[in-house]
Amino acid sequence: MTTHIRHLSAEEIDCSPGWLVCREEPDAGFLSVIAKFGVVQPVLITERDGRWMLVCGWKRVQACRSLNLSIPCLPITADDLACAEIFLHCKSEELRSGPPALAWARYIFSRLPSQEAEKRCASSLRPLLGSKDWRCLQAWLGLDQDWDQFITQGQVPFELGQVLAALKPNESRDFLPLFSHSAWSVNKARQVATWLIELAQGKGRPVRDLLKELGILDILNRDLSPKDTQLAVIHRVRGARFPSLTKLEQEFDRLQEEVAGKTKWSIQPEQHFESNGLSLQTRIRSQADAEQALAELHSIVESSELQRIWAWQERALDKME
Amino acid sequence: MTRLPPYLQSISQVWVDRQVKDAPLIKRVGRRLRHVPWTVLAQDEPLPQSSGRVLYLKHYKGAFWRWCPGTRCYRCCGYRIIHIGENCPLNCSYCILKSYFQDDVLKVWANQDDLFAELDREVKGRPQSYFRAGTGEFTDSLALEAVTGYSRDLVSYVNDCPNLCLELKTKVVDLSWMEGVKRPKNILPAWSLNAPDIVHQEEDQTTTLEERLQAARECVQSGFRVCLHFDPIIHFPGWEQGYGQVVDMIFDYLRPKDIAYLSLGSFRGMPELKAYIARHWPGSKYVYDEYVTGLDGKFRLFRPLRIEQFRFMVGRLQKHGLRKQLYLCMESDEVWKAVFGYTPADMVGGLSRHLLTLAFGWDE
Repeated sequence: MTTHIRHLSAEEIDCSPGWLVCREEPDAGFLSVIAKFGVVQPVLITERDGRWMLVCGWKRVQACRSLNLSIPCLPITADDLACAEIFLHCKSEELRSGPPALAWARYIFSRLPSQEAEKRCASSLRPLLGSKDWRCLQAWLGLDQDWDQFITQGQVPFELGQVLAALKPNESRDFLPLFSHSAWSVNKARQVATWLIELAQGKGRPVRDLLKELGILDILNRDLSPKDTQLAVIHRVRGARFPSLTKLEQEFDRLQEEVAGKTKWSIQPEQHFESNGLSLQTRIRSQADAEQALAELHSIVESSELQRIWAWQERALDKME
Repeated sequence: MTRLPPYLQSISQVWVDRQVKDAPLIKRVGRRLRHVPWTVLAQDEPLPQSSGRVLYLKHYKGAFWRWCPGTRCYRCCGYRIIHIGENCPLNCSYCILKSYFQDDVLKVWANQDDLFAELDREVKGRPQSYFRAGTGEFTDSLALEAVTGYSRDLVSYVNDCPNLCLELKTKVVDLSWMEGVKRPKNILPAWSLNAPDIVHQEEDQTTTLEERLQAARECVQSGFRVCLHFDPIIHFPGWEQGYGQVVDMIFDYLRPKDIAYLSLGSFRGMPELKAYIARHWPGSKYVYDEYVTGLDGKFRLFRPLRIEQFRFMVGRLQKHGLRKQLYLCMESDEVWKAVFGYTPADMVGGLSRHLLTLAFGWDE
């Protein structure tokens, strides 16, 4: 299978094969090492119609291209699928991460019938990914490829696949305007998607209708920072998913502002108002802060303002209007 | 062969642990399920691949006598469990067991000698203590009775156990155990009830509300008092009419004094249960209501909505004359106070003692 090492220029190597699913640009440190020692480990190449195709070693080739060095290459005989497998084993560290693993799986699916591709991916990728990421990858494979670019760019968390997999591919497409707008954290993305799916399923309406109805598309078109956009979206969707809870939270916020707004203390209810317990919090940085906080706490307790909150809780929580 | 009830007709194979293959219960099941293939499993043999509904007659090594797994932060009624098996053939969409157990194999603990030995130690061995226990926590108490006769064995045991009140909680009608009872005061047949729409849409294999209440009446006529449970109460469009209807229906069949106690519990569960229901019961829209995470990590209906439902039902039940028999399953003091005006802490001895009094009829 192997022959002698050949020295080629970067222009003689085709770096576009589909199996090269992750490509890392050489940084200054890497370039200086190559400049000093040259490429000590040959890149792998294979021949197609008289042209040399890169199997593995993209970063080294790019470094040599910019340094105008020839590249030691080890030619191998391998078909496209074998090249993909070799690439996977050469880059196994990178392919432990979801997005490149998904790109690799897409390449395999483009070359093999589905069942066979699934088997191949399971045997090659599952041990690298672990079962949780493997399930996410399976979920993405069942969804549109339109998502892949956003996953690769880091806008859509890989873990979101399992949430969207509860939908049909055409339904999941409804989420594209939302998640293509900015980079979402796993928790925020999962939360907002779950709430929207639950709203849609509860009402028997498609997500795209809800996005319009809740004004989510308008929020996305506003000139807000990504963070503010996401907060506004989450706020709007949560309000629709939990209308009674949101209403009471707003009332509580107003009340706690009246009670403790002029002090350093904040008053929080028990999670979801499950009990009438309250948490009072403040942050102190010095003895003077502590003394001031204590005096403010005394004033809150002595003014019977807390009583107002408990009275409100009993009124609002125990008797729905 | 006697025809099996519909909810047992799907049993397509039986597995038996070798250690219990000669147990009396196995022989009984053998007579009633001789038409399906049986597999005897050697000790520590991995379970075969299951296809269809499996009944597994198991040599159980765990504890048979347990506390109800009540969660922290909410009031538990201090119920004891006699653990006779796991899973249920009735296939209700809201069933908490779906997220509680890893499979849906119907398991029956066939080493009854070990169970009775444990009850001898825990119950008969403590004659000064009184216990209220049931078998309907991890399975339906009577759904498998037609093949196992388990409850009949248990009620016979209770004949010699004056300090134990045994509750048989079910959604089916099987009164075959009654013949084994010598002391009806110590046995509490119990039925879970729900709104007619919920029974119709969310309970796949249960008997009708009329059949359950008719069976309850037959029990009363035979000298028993019965228990009723509304758990889970579900928030759905039209719930007031539905729950109002079933509450009224109870008193077409029973008098308040026939009911030892009646519990009310709002739909709740582990977070995975909602996803399970969404996946397996796509028509069940109630899971998309306002469920929030409670203090114990389980999801439950937002407090004001639960209180509204409890208040409605308690009000309706009180109109029919039920008062002290009513209690809430796994609720906070705040909810108790909002619904009843008092909390379990205000009861002499707490909720557990109160229910013990009702179960044994000490207040009569």
